[in-house]
Amino acid sequence: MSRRIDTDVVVLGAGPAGLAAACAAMEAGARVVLVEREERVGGILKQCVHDGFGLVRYRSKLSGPEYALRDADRFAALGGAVMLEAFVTKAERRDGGFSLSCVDKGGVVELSSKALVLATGCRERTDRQVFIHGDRPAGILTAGLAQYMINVQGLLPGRRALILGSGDIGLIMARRMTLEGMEVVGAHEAKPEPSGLSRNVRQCLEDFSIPLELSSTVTSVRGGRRVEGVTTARVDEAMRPIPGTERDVECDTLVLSVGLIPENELARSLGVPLDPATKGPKVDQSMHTLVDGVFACGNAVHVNDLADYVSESGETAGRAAAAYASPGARPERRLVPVEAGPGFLYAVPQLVDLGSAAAEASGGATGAGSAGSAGSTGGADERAAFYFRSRATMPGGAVVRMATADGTELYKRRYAVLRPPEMERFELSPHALSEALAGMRGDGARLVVGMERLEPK
Amino acid sequence: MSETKVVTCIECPRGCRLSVSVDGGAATVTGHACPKGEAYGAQEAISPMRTLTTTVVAEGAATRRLPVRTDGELPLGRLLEAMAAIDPVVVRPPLRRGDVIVRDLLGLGVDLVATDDLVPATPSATAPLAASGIAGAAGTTGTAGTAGAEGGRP
Amino acid sequence: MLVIPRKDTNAPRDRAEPRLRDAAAMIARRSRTGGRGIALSERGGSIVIEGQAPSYQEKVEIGWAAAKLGFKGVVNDLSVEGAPEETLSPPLLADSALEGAYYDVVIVGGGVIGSAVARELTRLDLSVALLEKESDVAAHTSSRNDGMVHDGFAAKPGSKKAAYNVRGNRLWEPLCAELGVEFKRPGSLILFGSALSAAAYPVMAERARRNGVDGWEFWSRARVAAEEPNVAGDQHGAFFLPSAGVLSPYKATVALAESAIMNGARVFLDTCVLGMELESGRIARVRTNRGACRAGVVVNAAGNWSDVVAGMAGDRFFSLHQRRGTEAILDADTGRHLRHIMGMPRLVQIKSKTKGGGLVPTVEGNVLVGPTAAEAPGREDYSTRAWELRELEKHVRLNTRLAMGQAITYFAGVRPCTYEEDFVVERSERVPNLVHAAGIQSPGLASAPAIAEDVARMVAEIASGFRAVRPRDGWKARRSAAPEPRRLGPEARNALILGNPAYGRIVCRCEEVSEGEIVDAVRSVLPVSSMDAVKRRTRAGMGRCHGGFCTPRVMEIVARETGSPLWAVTKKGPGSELCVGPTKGARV
Repeated sequence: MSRRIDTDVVVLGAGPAGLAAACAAMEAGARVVLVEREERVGGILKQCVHDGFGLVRYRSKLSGPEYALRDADRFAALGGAVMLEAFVTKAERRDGGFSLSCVDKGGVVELSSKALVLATGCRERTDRQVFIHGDRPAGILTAGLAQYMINVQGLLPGRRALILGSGDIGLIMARRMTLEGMEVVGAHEAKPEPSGLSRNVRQCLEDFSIPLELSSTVTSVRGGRRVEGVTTARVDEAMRPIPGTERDVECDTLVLSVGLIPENELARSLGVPLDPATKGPKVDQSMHTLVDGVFACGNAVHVNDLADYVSESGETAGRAAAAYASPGARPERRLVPVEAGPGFLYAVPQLVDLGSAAAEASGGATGAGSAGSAGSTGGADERAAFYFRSRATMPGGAVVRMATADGTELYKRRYAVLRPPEMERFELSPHALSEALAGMRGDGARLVVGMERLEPK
Repeated sequence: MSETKVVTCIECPRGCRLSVSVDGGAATVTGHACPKGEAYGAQEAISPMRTLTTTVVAEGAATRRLPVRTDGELPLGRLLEAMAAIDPVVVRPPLRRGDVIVRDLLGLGVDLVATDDLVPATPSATAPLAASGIAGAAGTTGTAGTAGAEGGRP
Repeated sequence: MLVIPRKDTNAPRDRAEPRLRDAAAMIARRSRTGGRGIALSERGGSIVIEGQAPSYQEKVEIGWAAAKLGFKGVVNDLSVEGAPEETLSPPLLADSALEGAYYDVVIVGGGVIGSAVARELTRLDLSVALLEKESDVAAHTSSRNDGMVHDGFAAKPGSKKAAYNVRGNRLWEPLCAELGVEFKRPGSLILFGSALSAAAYPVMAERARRNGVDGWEFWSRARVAAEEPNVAGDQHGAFFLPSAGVLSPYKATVALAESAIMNGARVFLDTCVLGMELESGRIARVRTNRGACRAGVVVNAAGNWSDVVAGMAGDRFFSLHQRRGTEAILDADTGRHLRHIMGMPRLVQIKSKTKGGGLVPTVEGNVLVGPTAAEAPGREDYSTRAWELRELEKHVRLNTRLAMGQAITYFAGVRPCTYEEDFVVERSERVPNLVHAAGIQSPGLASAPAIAEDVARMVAEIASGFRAVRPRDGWKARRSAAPEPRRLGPEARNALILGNPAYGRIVCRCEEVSEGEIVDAVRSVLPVSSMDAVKRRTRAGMGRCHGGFCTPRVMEIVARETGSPLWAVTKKGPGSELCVGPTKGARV
């Protein structure tokens, strides 16, 4: 017979988002089962041996494992239960809750829960998705795979690498490969500016005199069994290769750092609507998706550039999932959309739940919400965090405004500079939200975030 | 004689562009948003320093490499030399984050410390978990298995 | 000077064979250079074309035209600047595994044809060896196609293609049941995009009748809309062929090879035939990179090299040209949007030598888009081109729920085509112990079981000339396939995992492949150790992350099971190692 486990909250994924969600839900009094596919908790942070994690959350510069261990310890101290090397094969709504089929080395497990937190992270785009042509030899790998090979398996993927893309993992790997004795001949970015953080361009490329070629891409790969070289080409504004600019570069390794995509196969199977801009579920300020009882957090919702904010959304989702799973009446959801203006690549949350905002403002009618621990911002005065990225670099900065449809301003801030690679965050108090929205009724109710571009001085 | 350098701050994700004018041994920094940035700018203009993060070979452990870092900064120009010195280092479990792996790396006054826990390889790596398949984190999670070990250096 | 017969044929120009004169005139007309520098001769009933062609396309067109003149075959040896004649590059492996051995039958080539022939021959008590130059069977054309088991409508009436296709289509379903390989029969819809094309129905029905296709129907616009809800645009009905099926071509090939091994055949991987030694006109010995073996009968199933292999036996009466096809694979989640194989008819079939491509719902739930068809040199050139993908857009547009943005990968295959554009399935006229199964292009997969039956019969006839040929005792039709836990119900899956926990450890998250399945692949009767071979058998790494997550885990299992150093695990055999060594080794 397969095993059955009944719980309040199931958290899928034990990376930084899932660990934070599981801890927050337990601290809020819920019974939690954390499900993880790998042998250890920590998610992708296990392979991030570089530092720079935790500046926001812990005010210190931690390596990936150190950062992950903080919440792993917190989870262990709470006596949390985790299923390791466990894989969800099916998820469905049943009896007002959720039924999940899982397999692990002990067999099949049927999990049922009142709430579900999706903390499934993201995956890397591959060479096929950026349409590199030519042969398919060994030696083409994503930056994350190169990172796993070098940092976890202790393997050297090649001798001479070219990096396509300038995402943060690619930049980090340029440094790691150089330190481990590989020659990195350059990073090629099709966009006219780097995709990764400026500090990573500095400390990962410039520190080691690795050239960064902007508006340049790889068009084809050469080599039968192992990569022997690639063809690079300059690209125009529409990122089309410019004929005549092709260059053959000898290398045995092509590392791709061309973007991340939220993993949402389970969300999709549960009918959770996704935002085409983020490719993650649409959520409200509690990280509650449009399917009641399904919460989502971390890079499954949108790709963050800081683990700290991944954890923050996990805390929010875990706390809200515990409240949802707690006995008693759930406040009715009254969702109004948050419309992001054309200057935004995206804004999260995409919706605000007036029901829960009102409940928060009136002193925490969410049941379990008062059990928040030190270090979390849980409790009655929980503030709603908004995350956004600008569509284009605004060297002169911009003014970002959030208002109701009828013009009542909730938030305004002048940003000195906005760049797509750098996610921005602001927060609103539940009072501000509920007061401004008090008058909102009917179909026209919505929030609008706008961006006014400023010219450089 | 003063010389002005523009450097990108690496202290935090903001990546401030700092202008540093160096006059003799003294540096004046502008463009920073915090004191860390000011200190970084001054140091960067005179002698860039970096924390080294890498791995060392682990034997008899659940993983093949142990993540490590220096507990202070070393000159940027000596990173590769430090890597070569770290190459032959082999560690065995059990080790905990914070444990010193190499003392006084290259005589630069910084130690190489573990940034993860190292647990022994379990022969049962492919054996089934307990019949319930579910266990308290303290026993079976690996990373979570050293509950409360933060700052556990003797 | 125009085209002339070669001097060494000793045929004065005016007394040249009339067909050669026709050929010369034809080439003079077709060739942009008027055929200058091209020499024609006849050898063993085939026309031999030598000299220089200005382009590969023109070389192929001359070959096609020559094929219409009634010779036994076309040996097109025109050279094309920039496209030098290719030579086999043998595997790095060199040992003497085959040295001095004798087999009643030596099959050259481990594609679907060679593997099906091997299995068919094990019904008899003959010793059978299959030699495959790659590290796995189905490494080339047999894994680089859309898995369609064609209905037989598209083949030219009266051709070998038509006959084998229709027979093969009937054989595949029971064969798949024996092999434990999934087979589905979604049927194929040829959409009529206009009233004019719908008017072609009677002509199409007549062709289907002549080919002996198992059923065809006219579907009205309303029927199409009802049965294929996501069909795009204003269709004027469709020609429906219910017998069209799909299977996984590499799984089927692996299963055929495994079934052959279970019934006593030997399969030698990384084993390339380098030459043949003839004695009194018969093949006596087959030379390989692993030693020379003696052979009673040789079967040429060498795919894109089958003309070269025929040449090793002195029987190169045909030659091949290559037609590359590129296909895109859409996400596993797209299959639910498509119920039938679907395409648009090509009313103008002038240059079309193959079905026009379209959408194929695979057994695994993906949708395959394509293939394209482009004459291009390169027997193993699987590089893809940007324009080919753009060409696939037209197929995707047939379905409102599909888009090229759903593509998780794309790949190219090369069809081995004779200039007659038909299969060569026959006993050699010149070498008494050689059987050809060559030029097996589309619909080769569909035809394979029928071709295998005929080839096995020809081999048995030859073999009975030197020994008694009896049925093999205890021949097993059923292959015990390795379990696929994801296809089991919860209780059966639970029981499987309790018996072997490795089936409960999911290694490939996109395709839900367990460690146990990877171990099965590595330890099977046809053991393999490359990532590509494991991928073909288990689908690990075939999903949307494209191996980003599972590659290290599969490497660990393969290394553990084969005793290889972790870094030396290969993508597709020696020379394609995934890494160069451990970190912390000697710095360069």
